[in-house]
Amino acid sequence: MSQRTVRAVPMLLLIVMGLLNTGCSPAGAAIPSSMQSPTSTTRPRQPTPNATPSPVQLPITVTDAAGQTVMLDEVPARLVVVGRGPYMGLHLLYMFPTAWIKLVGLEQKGSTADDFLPLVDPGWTQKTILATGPGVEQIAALKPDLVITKGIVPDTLSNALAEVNIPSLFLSPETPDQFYQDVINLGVVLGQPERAMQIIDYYQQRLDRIQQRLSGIPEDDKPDILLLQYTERGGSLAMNVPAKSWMQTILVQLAGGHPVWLESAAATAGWTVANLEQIALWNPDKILLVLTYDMNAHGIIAALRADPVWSQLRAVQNRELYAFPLDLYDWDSPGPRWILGVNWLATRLYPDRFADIDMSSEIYDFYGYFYEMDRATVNEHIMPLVHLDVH
Amino acid sequence: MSTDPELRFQEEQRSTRRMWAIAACVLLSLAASFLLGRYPSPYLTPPRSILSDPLARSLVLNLRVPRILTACLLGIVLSASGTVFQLVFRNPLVDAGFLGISPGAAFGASLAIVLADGRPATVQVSAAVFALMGLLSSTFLARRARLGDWTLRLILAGIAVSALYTSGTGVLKYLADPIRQLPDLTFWMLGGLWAITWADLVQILPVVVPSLAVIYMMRWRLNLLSMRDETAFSLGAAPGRERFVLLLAAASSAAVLVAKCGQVGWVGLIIPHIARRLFGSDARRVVPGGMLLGCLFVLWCDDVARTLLTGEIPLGILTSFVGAAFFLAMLTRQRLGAQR
Repeated sequence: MSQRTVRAVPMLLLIVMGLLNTGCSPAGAAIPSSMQSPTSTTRPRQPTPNATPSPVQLPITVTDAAGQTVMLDEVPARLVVVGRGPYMGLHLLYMFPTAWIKLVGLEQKGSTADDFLPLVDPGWTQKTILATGPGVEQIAALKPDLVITKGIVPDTLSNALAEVNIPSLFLSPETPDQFYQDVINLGVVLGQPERAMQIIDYYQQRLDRIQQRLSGIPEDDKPDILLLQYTERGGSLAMNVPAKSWMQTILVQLAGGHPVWLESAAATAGWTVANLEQIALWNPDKILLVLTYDMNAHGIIAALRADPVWSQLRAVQNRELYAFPLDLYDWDSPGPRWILGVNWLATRLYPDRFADIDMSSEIYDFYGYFYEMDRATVNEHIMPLVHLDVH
Repeated sequence: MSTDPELRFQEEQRSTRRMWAIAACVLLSLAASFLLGRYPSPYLTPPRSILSDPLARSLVLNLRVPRILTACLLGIVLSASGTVFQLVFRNPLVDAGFLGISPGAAFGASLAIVLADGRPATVQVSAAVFALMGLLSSTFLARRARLGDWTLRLILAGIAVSALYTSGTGVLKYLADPIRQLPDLTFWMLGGLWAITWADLVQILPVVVPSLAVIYMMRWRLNLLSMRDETAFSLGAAPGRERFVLLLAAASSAAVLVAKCGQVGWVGLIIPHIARRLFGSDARRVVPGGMLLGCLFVLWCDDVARTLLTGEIPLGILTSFVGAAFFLAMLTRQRLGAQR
């Protein structure tokens, strides 16, 4: 092997290590400044809506999450929701009651179209469920006035829909800022800007409450938090940490915690596997486990507490290993429920400062206010799935 | 290799010295690997901390050691099976992904993740079953085909079976839940040893050890099997039977490890080539030399994968990248030729 080759290989290795450390967004586009990673040296960023929406003026013009200018001659009457993670857009859409009737079709990802909305919308069975990956013709058959999808870059489907004059609106509620912007955009598009402001007020009030009660706490006094996604594949040996720019990381900061993975984690755009050595190296004050609703939270927590390695971690010894609560959908991921997640997290990180917050009441308020679910319905379908104190 | 006895003797001496040097490298790398990790500090673990810190000791004994040993086994098996495939099929561009083994394992794992419960045991069993089905399907198709000699038929059958499994995997990826299943599927496809325990290592030994023993003991027969059937038969070999035994040993050991560790590419393709460059074309040296080189290669890649960053780097990415870089280098060398 030539000397040139021998010299080239280490260089190539360094290059690929650099690429892995830098990472890139899934769509290959530059990440907007609103999504730039928070750092531990900055104070938690409070989301601020970029603009106060004005009364609906026709034609409707909004700039969506993909940077597109969406122009509509009138308020759309027929909506279709497709794309990755459709439940996020759907549940956000359903915060506007007029959208219930306007939704005519949606893409099914996974085994069911949606586990939550059939409980909310009596007209759910009238919706057309499209199989995974619908094409333009299948969507066009529903005669939509607007297609709502998730992403930050126009994709081939939206380009193809544009060819047949079907506009697309991109949502990307990956951060609180973007969530607010999506809410405003939907409010304008649906002709309900005042409802959009009500939604934002609801969220902002709770965030303001947390910020006020945590004001004056120095950064160094904030607890070290590690949020891990538990998977069957990794078990107790390796779990996933979220990306720096993700909602999970932001929630920890908004609730007054210091995410320990922030400084050293690679700036990837996805979950990153952290093995048990790294978890032990971080040895945080509190560990939050993100599970799915079909996992046995109690069993997993108990098994980790009994594990000979895990039992030596500070958080486990102090009984600060928590299962992150959820109901039919996650409270930690982008989607309307993140406000429940951040509220819950604040009560666990600072129980003394939030002793008056009753999470059960928060749940009833949330589902009643946004989805018109009465207490009986919440008690029947939501509360049995919520475990607020598994640790 | 030279026909001059004196030169041949010198080449064999050189080859032997290289073998010992690589074996020494393996031992040193093993020792160093036990001290590389993320706890109690990134990269180097001070030996005294293993003695004084119970957590460090537990992590080293229960996590690092089985993982390092599995990485070694993975490299040994993939290299040995790659050597067997390349010699038996007389094709320098084949490896475990060739007879439908790796594509079958990928399909089985995808099936378990998307349509079954996705638990590790289910994924591993499904991957192993479909990996072996890949081999059996290729063999069955090769017997039914009527085109060329048996080697050519097996190559074509392997391509067809691999293509079928690959398209099946594509369908399953398409159907997978993007939130809950697709990330698991992706991680499995990229390969990794982060979930290996002593129990996993014990489970693979009953298949891997006998298979490697068969390949090692029959390595000299590979020289005969790499010739045409008529020539091998005239030299006293039973090419059909011996080929089957060797292929079964190579395929089953590779299937079991791929089922545990996910897809780790390029090792079985590149390491035999490097072994031939260092040790000549004699399979008696190429097989053990390739095993040592494969062990070293995967060990080093896994050390980087688990140590360099806070997050795990999928092992398959590292082996593919380095393997591809070496392959490009080999292709672009001016003096390119294979020793016969």
